Amino acid sequence: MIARDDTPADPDPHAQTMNARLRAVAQSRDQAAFSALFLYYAPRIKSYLRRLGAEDAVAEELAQDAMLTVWSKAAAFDPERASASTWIFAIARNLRIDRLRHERRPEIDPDDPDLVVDPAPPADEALETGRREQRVRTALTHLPPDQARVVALSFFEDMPHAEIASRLDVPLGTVKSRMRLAMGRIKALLGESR
Amino acid sequence: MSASFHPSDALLAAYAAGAMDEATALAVATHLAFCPRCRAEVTRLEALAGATFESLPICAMADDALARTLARLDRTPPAPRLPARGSALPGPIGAYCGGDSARLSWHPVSPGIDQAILVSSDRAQARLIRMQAGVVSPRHRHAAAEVNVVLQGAYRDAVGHYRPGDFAVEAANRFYRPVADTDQACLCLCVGDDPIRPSGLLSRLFAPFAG
Repeated sequence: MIARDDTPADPDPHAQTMNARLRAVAQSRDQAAFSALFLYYAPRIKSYLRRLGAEDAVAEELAQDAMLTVWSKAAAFDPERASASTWIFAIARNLRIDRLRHERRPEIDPDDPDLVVDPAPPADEALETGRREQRVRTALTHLPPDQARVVALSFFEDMPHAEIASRLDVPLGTVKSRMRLAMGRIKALLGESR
Repeated sequence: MSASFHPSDALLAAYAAGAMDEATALAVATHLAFCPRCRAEVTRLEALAGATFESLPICAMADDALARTLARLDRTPPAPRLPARGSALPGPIGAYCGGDSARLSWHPVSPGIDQAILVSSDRAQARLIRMQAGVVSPRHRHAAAEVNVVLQGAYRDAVGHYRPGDFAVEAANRFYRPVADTDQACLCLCVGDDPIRPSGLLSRLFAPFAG
């Protein structure tokens, strides 16, 4: 089989390993697989929470609790929909909203039969998830630093774009255009490059 | 039928990041139930957030963190997986009223218009607004932008004609006068951080009932 230049021949082996560990937790309550996930993800969850202003002890406790949520909800993980990292990020994000902001996180259930569906899905919908997420990672590492900074601030500082603008000392329009450029690059890699 | 009016990219990014108050997030999630394109965009944004999350510099856990967590595993059973239920209201809103808007506490706002509060915080408020068919709402404006997501029926204002799933933004300090379509009642999710500011004599008469 000949791989195209822009298409990795194999999905990311690291992501495959993490997916397999999550499935092992779901299927056989595998504590060794859980421990490996814990050692990799707990320090990242803690880092995410610290960035959003949680104190060390709070971030430590919530990171442990987030990993317990990973343990109890592993059966809901669907590698067709998201990578392990994206799924665990969402757990950490939602736990923070619940425990530190004391709010609910309104979400749609992807299995809800009442969701309106697209008769003609866009090109990247057909991309297999692992490959899509690997492309996102590749795109991320190739973003110009000013765009990467806006993306990181908007995800991990809980900051509206107006505040990002004042933090970076650039006009609001610049923040918006950098975010748009960054998303444009990522979309181009996901869709039009096929 | 798919939506024609969508949240901005910045709102979708803030939703994916969790950097948004609950009421506004409810408006975005409700739109997502109607809009496969914005769902795909949020999936992309979450993948981007997941990749950024994975590349964060790590922050060391306590030495005994893994041992303590392993000790709690036996007391942490698998979470039950609830089947998705069909309901008259989109899922994210159904979760706030047991799937049935009749269970909410409705109050009249002006002739032919009732509202029920879903989320109220110091950051923003989300409420359901029900306009009877053909009702012309009082001309009003808001000090800050508001969002209406149509759930059933349709309405129009000077900017557009909004149908189920449409995410209609009312800009700050502009006057609006939504008019419900005449064929059926219009049910909307309305999110803002400011009670309606009516204008005109008729609205002032009804003002005591507003907000």
